[in-house]
Amino acid sequence: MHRARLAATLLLPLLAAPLLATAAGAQQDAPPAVTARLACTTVALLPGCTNTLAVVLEVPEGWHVYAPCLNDTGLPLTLEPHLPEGWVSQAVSWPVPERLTEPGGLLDHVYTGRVVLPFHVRVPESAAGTRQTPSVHVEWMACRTACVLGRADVSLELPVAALRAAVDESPDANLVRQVRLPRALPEGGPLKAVLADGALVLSAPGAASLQFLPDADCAAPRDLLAEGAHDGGTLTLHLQPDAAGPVKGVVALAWPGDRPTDFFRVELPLDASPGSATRAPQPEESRHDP
Amino acid sequence: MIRDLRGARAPLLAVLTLAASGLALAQDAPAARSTPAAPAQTEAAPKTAKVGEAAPDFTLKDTEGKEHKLSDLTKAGKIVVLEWFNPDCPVSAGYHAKDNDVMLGLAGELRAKDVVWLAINSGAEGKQGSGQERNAKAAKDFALDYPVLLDGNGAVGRLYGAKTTPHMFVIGKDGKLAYAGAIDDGKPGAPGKTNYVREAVSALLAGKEVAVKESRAFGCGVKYAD
Repeated sequence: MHRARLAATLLLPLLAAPLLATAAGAQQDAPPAVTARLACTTVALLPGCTNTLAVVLEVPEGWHVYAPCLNDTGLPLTLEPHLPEGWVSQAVSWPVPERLTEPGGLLDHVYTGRVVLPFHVRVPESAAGTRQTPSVHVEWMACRTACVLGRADVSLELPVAALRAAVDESPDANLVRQVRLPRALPEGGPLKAVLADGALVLSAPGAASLQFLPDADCAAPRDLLAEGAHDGGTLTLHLQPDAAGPVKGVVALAWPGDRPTDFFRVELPLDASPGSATRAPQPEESRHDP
Repeated sequence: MIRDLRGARAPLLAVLTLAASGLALAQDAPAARSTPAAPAQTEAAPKTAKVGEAAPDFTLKDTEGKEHKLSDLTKAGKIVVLEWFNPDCPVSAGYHAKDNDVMLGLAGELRAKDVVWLAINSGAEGKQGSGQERNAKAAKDFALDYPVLLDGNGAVGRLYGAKTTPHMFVIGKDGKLAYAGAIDDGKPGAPGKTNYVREAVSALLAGKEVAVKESRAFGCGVKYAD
């Protein structure tokens, strides 16, 4: 079996350039050195297949960047792929964020530490045997007690394997595997999600706690800070009377003991009858093997 | 377990503080963990601002020590624009960069129509971009030609539900809150196509209904004490 050779230069990281540095007077929080790079789960791209790329941000300890959720503050991360002709990109698979409460009753959904943002690209067969350099423009706002804006253009030169070739995983494949992504809500699973009396009602018997992490375009809740997280197996999140659009987001379902937390994607149209939770489609799985 | 990040202080205290803060709010009240100014005995407890309802009254001092009382302005027939401001927030400061005329240009444009524009800094003492001295420097550095008011204990910010810098509020001559949200539908460094504040003020001046009454503001979180 033919194996494509390892690209001599796998990664071409570019250091993040602060877009606007904090002005004088914020010396207690020097601008963080958030770094960004582009990664691929394989050492070469497979033509005619879906491949997985990922933007990897390293956010310094104590700082956070903003997820594309229903936030009180902050500019969410944005990714703008610039791909070679004929490539097709799918949406970013956003990892599950964390709730962050701050003074003043402010609530945001954020990422900390190493942030891996995978997205799938379909590489055309015509690219077989060439070298290609996809790139992504990334923008973020990083905050601790102060905030800074940053941006970077990250790119990665990769060989494209021959048709029907097999390629090895790259060291970054494990990073992408570890990304905390929500699963589709299974029928008859541990979580029931319904809309009833103007509220999202989540129930998971035996759960230690529940959180609802709404997408940016989720129907507006009345009090997400107070009602978006709850100890125990039920959570009731009332919606604003004039709320529009579907109720959509991720449910984090924590269990007692060592049982790992479950993350489910929930999407319910506002006119949904009780029990009609719909399952959002999951991104197409990346093909690492021919 | 689910990780729930939390700032250093409990947010509930802010809500409780708000309920007791009263309508007359001293500009130079101590910031963090302090007892707010006593409410005026003849006035009802303040309500959080809501579009379509009476805008909460306040009195705050600018960098020159001059007091600005909202109800005095509306009684004088003024439309008032409030801009929540933090000179060290890159988003707020970005709107005052030399190549960005979104705030200053609009403030000048509206002032010519007898509209009052006030910036308010609700940052708590010791936090990013806070304090009268910082306001004064920012006013000079950014060539602001409108007052910058200090809300050091954050009471007015909480009354209005100001979350970000910038966060914009438009109050009509009738004293009612007509608009709350972002300045426009753009982002830092890229002015939007629709300036919500201009649209709201234009509608008020024309005696028409404000089309977009609320939008989602973005920026740095207001640096409240607790």
